[in-house]
Amino acid sequence: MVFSSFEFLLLYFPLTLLLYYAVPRKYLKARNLVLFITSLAFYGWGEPKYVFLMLFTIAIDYAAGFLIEKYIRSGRKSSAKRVLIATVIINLALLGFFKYCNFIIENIRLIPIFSSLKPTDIPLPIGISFYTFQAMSYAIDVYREECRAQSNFVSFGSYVTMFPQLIAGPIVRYRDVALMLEDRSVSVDYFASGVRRFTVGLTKKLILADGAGAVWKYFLGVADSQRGAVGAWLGLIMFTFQIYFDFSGYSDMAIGLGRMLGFEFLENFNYPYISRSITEFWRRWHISLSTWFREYVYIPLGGNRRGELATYRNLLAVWLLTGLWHGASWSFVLWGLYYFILLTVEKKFSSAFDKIPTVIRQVLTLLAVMFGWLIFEADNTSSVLGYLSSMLGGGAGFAFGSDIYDLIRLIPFTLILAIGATPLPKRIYDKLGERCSVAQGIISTVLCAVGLIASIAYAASSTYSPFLYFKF
Amino acid sequence: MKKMNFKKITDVATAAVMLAIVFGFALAFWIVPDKAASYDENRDLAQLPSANKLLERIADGRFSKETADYYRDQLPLRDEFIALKASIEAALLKSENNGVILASGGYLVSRPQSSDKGGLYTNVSAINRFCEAMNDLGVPSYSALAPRSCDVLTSYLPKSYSSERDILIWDDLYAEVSDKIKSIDLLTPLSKKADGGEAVYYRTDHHWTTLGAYYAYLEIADAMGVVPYDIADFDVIEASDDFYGTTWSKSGFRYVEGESIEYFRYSGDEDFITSIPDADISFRGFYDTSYLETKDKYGSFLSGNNSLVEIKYAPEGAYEAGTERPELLLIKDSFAHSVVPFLARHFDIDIIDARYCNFSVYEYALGKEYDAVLFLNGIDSLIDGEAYKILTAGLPK
Repeated sequence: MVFSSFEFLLLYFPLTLLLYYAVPRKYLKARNLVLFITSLAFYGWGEPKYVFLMLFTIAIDYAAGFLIEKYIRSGRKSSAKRVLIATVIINLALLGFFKYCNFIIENIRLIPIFSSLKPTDIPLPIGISFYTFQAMSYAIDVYREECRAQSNFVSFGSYVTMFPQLIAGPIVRYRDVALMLEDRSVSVDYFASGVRRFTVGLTKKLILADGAGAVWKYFLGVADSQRGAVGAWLGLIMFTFQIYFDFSGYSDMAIGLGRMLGFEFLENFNYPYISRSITEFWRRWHISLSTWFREYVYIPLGGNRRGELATYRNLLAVWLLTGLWHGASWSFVLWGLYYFILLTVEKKFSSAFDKIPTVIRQVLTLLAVMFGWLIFEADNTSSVLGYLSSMLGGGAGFAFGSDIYDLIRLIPFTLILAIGATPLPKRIYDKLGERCSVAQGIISTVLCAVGLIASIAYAASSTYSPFLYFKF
Repeated sequence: MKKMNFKKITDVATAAVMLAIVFGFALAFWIVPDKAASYDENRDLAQLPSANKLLERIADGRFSKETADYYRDQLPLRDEFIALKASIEAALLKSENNGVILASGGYLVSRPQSSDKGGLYTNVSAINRFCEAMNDLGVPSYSALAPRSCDVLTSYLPKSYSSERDILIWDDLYAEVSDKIKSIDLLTPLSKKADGGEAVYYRTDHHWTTLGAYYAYLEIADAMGVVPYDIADFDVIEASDDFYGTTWSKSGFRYVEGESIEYFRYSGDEDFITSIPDADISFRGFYDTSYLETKDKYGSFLSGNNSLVEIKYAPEGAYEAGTERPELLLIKDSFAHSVVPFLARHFDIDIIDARYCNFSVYEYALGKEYDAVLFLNGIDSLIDGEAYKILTAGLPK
């Protein structure tokens, strides 16, 4: 079930709100139970069998947290470590089996004696990459004594399964919501801010991301030899917008829904396309994932404190894993490697880059990111090089067929996308609030109504509206 | 202090607006009676999932899929929302919606969505093999490809839209068609007529108009060596004046007005009998006017899509049916439906739609004595799927 579907908006969401708020605030444990059960229903909606897989993960990590804390308190650090290692192995084994099994089989099959191995037909459990990482962060944080173990199974379960961030993030660390599981309240202004945030996300997904995606899909479907440079660039620009508005829209919806239930999740995106460097881009893009890898892979490996060589080795490990996390395919590994190379070059020549004017650095960064998306989409592209060649005019020259027509007709839409990807709308909104909070209040209410109705119209028209970040 | 209060009021309003919309539609969804079908889309709508074997269906995911379809199809004000989306897209100056271009003159033109050739090679090679086999029996074959509206209506499309990408498929088609088949070019004459301002295609549908069908008939007759009837020999009758076709439905541009469907009638056209063996239907003339009461008004030509339709000249009285007229095997899609009334003046016709056919057409043809085979299909039928493979069933090795 995705947030932009009617079974979510008109069935699951209102029912969940009713059940949740039917429980008085003072019975917070009961509210957690409602959240746990409704989240399991949310998850089981698509693939009921995998509810048991998720419950298993929850049970393992719950027990691990309990044991680790017990051992640490009794001074048996090495026992705690053994439990932690076992837990991490189990978590990764489950993730590896369900997500990477076929990828491994496909590659082993290349060795002649194994060529008869058959790929499995096990479907990927939705959100497994997200909730596995969340559950692991809990066990690790308990071991590091960053947080206390959660004694209440339901509270812990409601953290792992919490439906707003369950299937597409942000990856919420346990310690960031630990207090909210014990004590939280929802005021009207907090709820209203959740409504605004959710509406922004829904609109971004349905009107901006899907609209841009349709153009990208068109230019992907055109043969390389029939795509002019104009069309090729337009297509890739549209994908660049699609993946941002799709994913950040989903995070907005998650944050908004979280607020409506009294949870505050950390921001996951911070206008990544205005970045002046690749380093900055990764501080602004999918922040919760970069944070996770930094804290649980990069720093434990020694970070940058063990000499230059070790630093690059650690970076390489992080980026290969980041690539693989995005999907079980060599193109994602390549994509991770691509960022490793970019970041290495950037580190080496940082003083030279600093001399380049900001605007040019922003453009160069964006171009590098766009090229990265082309690698990211390699599995959907007939040939990355063929597409790239058409961007340089090697397909069908400068412009071919509908290229100019599409370029012209999409100017207003592209302007909206471009402005929407910058902090400008938010700045204007905040300015308005400073000058005249009455106007801001009225406008935001009207925009919410308009945004919701327009989103429903777009959802009604599309019989097919998958989230890009659904394969994770 | 006052400001704080106002902030609170607008926050309450924001929350209330969302809850009103969500809960309003959630309730309306159950209160508003379900619709059986969508008239505009010409399809049945998903219904409330049954409680039959509920647990099993929940476990294998069918129930959630059915519920999703049910919610999508039965949304209150669904048609209005679809129209609203099209209007927003138009307001964003996108010039099109759902791949349908709002062209000048109120023409709605579906634009090809990919250069993927789909089943083209499979289909054309099946057609080639069939024709070669018919050729061996001494039956000549003709093939006319019905252009898409985007091929013909180029002068109505926005100036910046070049059809050069879309028409590349024609080269592939012509390159594939066997030289044992005589190709009839409809693209050039129809484009000329369209450029000259004649309404050869519907504004709201992907088919050609009856006038367009008449021009196609002129070319086919010419190629097959029969003398076509002059346009003055027909009485143009308006069968309907509120036809809203397939591209209209797809586009969502609900403000585009409907149009008329014409029949080119002639004296004696009721002397023909159209029979559809599968449906056990036969009627006089070519028109099943019951379709005019439905959305699918174009379906009134030959009573819609059927695997096999037989057209015989059978005037009431002494005439012995079909004995002296040449016989034509027509393998076609729906573009042919409005051409058949013209062709019937020259031939008795057995009409086969490969997309709905599940028998060996060759063996069927062996039982008859055809004078010619005519293929009359739109390009999209040859690209979508591989239905024409059925033509190779039962062919001699």
